[in-house]
Amino acid sequence: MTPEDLKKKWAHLRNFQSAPVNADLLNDIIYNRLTTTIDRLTARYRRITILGFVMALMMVLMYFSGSGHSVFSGYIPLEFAGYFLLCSLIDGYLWCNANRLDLNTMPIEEIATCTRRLRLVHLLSMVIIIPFAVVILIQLFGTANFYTRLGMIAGGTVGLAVGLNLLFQTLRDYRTLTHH
Amino acid sequence: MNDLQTDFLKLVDRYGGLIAKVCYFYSVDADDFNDLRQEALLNLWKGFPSYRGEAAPQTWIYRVTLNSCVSYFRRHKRRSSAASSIDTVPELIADGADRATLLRELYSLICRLDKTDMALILLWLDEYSYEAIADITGMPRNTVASRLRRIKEKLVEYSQNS
Repeated sequence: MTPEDLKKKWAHLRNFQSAPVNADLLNDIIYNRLTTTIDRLTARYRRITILGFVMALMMVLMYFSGSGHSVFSGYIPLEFAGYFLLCSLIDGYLWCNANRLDLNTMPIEEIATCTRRLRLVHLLSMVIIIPFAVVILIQLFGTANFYTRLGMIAGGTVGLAVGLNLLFQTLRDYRTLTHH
Repeated sequence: MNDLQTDFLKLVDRYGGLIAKVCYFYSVDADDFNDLRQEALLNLWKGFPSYRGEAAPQTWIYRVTLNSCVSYFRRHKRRSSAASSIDTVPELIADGADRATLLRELYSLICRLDKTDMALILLWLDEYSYEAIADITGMPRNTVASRLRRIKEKLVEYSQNS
């Protein structure tokens, strides 16, 4: 098929009327009952930015005041503070950039480049953050007593299941990214 | 219902076919198509109050719909494969069996392109000039011309292999 054949076939599709969009969906849209995926993503990045910053601050305060559970001994609170600060910074970067996307005025190439970069940063941040968290948790395990360790094992099992699920989701995302 | 909402519904009614057509080419299955069309409609509604008619409605709709498709963060849900197959979409959106077949045939070629190339070829197929495509995509005119040439070569190759 030549490009001109393609164009001829396409001409049959010009101005075609599709089946009407579901009326309930249109009502939800015009009465602002739905949000876009970018809005949801931006809100999530904003939440993690603020939460990460607050947690980092709390960990620094915990270190200098010497309060908190006995497992938070030595430099562990400072390591946690570093971890939360890193999460906050990465999500802050993603939040600012996702917030700048204006689908009404920005050209397609710019949107494509920006979203590709955001996805890449998102994936790379997970590659950095997950091993960082594992190292801190191993250290925490070393300083914990028997019952705290049991609690950590239970929490770790659940965390591992959630983490694996997230990992597979990320791999699927990456496949989609490389496919299109 | 206020004037803005009424005008928007008229616009969707008039250009619903264009929105559906673009979303179809960017979808991987029927659920994805529904999500993508909803996303495009939401973005159109969000931008509608600031649309002042500087560009033709069709061009503005094309830009927002293509941007929605290109930037879409796909959610992964468990899907029932039979009901969700992309093959079921043309019957849902086309206004005739021959158009459904045509949509399916073109999809099998165009869906192999990457997101930006897909946007370029859809605009070219809809008779937009290289200048207009350059404006919508934000690429220099010469880049549009050379990329379109490569895309057409790829499509010829795909059609020979299929």
